[in-house]
Amino acid sequence: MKVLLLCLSCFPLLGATFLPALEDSTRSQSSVATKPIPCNPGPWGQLDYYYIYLEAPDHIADLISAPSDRTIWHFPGKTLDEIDAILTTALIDERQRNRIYNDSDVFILEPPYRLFPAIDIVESMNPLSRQTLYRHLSPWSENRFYRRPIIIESGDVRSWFANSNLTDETILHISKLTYQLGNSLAFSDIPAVLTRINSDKEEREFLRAITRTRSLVLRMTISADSDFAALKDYWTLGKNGKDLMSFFDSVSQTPAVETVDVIHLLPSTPRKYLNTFPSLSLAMDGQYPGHFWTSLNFDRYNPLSDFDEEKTAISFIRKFYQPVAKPYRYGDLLLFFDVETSDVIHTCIYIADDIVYTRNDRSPLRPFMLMKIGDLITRIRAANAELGVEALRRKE
Amino acid sequence: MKWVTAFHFFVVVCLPPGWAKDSEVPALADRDIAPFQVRKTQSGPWGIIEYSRLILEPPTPYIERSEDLKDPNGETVWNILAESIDGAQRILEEAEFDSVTIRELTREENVTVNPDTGWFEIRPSEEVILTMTPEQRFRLYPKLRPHLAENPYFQAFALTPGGIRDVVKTPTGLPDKTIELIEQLTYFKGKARRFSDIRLLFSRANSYDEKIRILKVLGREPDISARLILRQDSNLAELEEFWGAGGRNREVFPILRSVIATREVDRLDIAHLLPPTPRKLVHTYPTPWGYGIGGDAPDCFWSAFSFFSDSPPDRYLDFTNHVFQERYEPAPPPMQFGDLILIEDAETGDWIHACNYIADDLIFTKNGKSMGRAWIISKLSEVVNSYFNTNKIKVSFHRLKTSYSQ
Repeated sequence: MKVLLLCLSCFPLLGATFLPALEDSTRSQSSVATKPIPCNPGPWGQLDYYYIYLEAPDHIADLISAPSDRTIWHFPGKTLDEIDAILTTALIDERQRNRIYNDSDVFILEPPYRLFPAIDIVESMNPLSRQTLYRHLSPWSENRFYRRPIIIESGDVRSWFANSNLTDETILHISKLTYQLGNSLAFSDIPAVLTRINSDKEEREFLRAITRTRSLVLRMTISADSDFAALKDYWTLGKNGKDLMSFFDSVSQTPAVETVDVIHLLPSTPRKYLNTFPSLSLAMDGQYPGHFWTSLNFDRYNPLSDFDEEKTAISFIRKFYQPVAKPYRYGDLLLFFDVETSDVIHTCIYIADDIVYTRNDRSPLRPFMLMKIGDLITRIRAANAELGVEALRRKE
Repeated sequence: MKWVTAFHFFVVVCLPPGWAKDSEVPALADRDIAPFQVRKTQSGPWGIIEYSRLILEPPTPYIERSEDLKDPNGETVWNILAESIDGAQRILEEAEFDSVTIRELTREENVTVNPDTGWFEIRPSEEVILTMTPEQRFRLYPKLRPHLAENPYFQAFALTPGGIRDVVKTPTGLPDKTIELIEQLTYFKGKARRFSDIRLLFSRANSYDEKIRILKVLGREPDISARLILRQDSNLAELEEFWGAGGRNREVFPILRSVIATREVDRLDIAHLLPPTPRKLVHTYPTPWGYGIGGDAPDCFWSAFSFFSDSPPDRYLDFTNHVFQERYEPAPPPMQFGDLILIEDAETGDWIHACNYIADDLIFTKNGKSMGRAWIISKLSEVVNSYFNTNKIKVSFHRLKTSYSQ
């Protein structure tokens, strides 16, 4: 875990100023994504994990409104000259640029400008060109596919979409349209893929497949040699963890149990939601839970909806948490922020080794999940260039 | 499925009045399990489940709040409500004590009358307690006052169908003689094993800590850790049909699909397949900061009726009969995931227990309202035997109507 979360600095909420940009995380190990992978040894015990790919259930995926197969690039606030410079930087040659302008003539009469590149131009871009252009497009929320691309953490499109019911042709097509984002691959050209899909069934399969998120099932191997007292100490979160320890005590005394799913060691609330998509009942207070809700309710038996409000959440953190240095402990809050603005970008909960518990979006298409920190950073950096991180622990 | 079918729809199980002998118990109990051997269920629409036994023990902080520890050095006192000492003697006669013992128990120096309650307070000798038969305990103890939950004679410790031996297969921290004594003092209420003589046990304990250990061991429950076996050739459609529970549990589809597609992983802990509420609760004890209002803690009915609830309604702490009447209908075989299993007194119709069907003969249950009772996975046969404390019980199966999601 040579991850950067270890570069602790002052906490912006507590008056800090600057945290160096984060290094890139180690590349996700998963060209063979389906094998159990051992974690590094540590006070968390002998852990391994395997990846699972969670697709939104049909009743949620069916709510996705299919976009048009026309690619749209929005350039709000930019002049035509500036747009031309961006396209040039992205190695789109003059002939192609002129075709794009001709195809978009009505929409470049006055700002904000929108371009409608033809499919062959989109498909002919090389990964570097795509990466360059899409990075320019990503800050604007109008460019939803570029702002929040599909992140393929494994870096292997074929294994990512394995068993997704997508045709080999579609997977190959997606593969050709991916570009590098941090240590992961990203995919934004959903309209381009739709041009090659002709049946409603395949279209639904595609729209469901792109909701795929990679989570983990984390397991602990135990044996007679395990130091159960040390393990219990690590996995107990003060008084709120004690109710779980009866189960752990029990398995520690049971010779037949050699593996414990870590779901049983999590507090009640994350155990309830891990690896599931939020149900409608979680939106009864007006919105689906975000990252603050997920992190600050980690050890609360009955979650508080107040944490959905950023102001309340930050005030709570200021009052009840304190910065900590490594080594991090189970249950520590990791807070990611924009170095330039000090805005909080994301929070999650440290579990063990380089694994966190997180929910990455309010969208019903995002599950509660376990994730490698490096993968998480790639994901939340997609729209944020310079990221800082702070680790915080509940005050005694 | 065969076993459940034998029980299916509703079954009235009769016992002769009084108590049952030890040898009668194994008829319903699964007694052949080598303590912690990994076993498999039958194959069914749920797939195949591999499971192993666990023994859960209540956390010490809960035990320390036990009513039994309010007076840890107290002697054994039998409170008998009677108009006169003759009346008290008649109650002892009904419990089949011989005349010599009755005379000894009701000698003036052994009896006081409580000025507040009017109860005759009898202090039996250790010898009397030790030589009582299980039938005598069964006949006498329910009559001892007060008729409140904190009275171990009225609300006895409920032991598992195999008795204390079922839960001492992992280290107890107690001397063997204590376990033997619990065994000796165990009695039957119907087919259910009960224990009440905690005062005698305490009097022989060497320390306060040992008394805690005694209560923890008496509070132990057999639990089951279960994993669904999934392979790439598993029948996904059939599994989704079963575990999806008619659309009420479709949130588990993503992980089910994903694990099936995952090479080299062929076991998924059942916790991942339970709906949110039982998933949150399974293998844990109630907590003071958890569910419950005032003295109303979650019990079996709250738990069973909340099985498909995203958030268990507090209303279920009040009563659940109205929900049962309106939302449930008899469940025809085959059993479906989440079906409600109701155990009633066949003579009075009083509800005794409720739990939920998981798969094969595995169920999700909370056996009692106490904070010291966990939510566990168990076998239906064992739960039925644990609650077989009347002459006749009726076991019936119910399903949410399709128009209700929870």
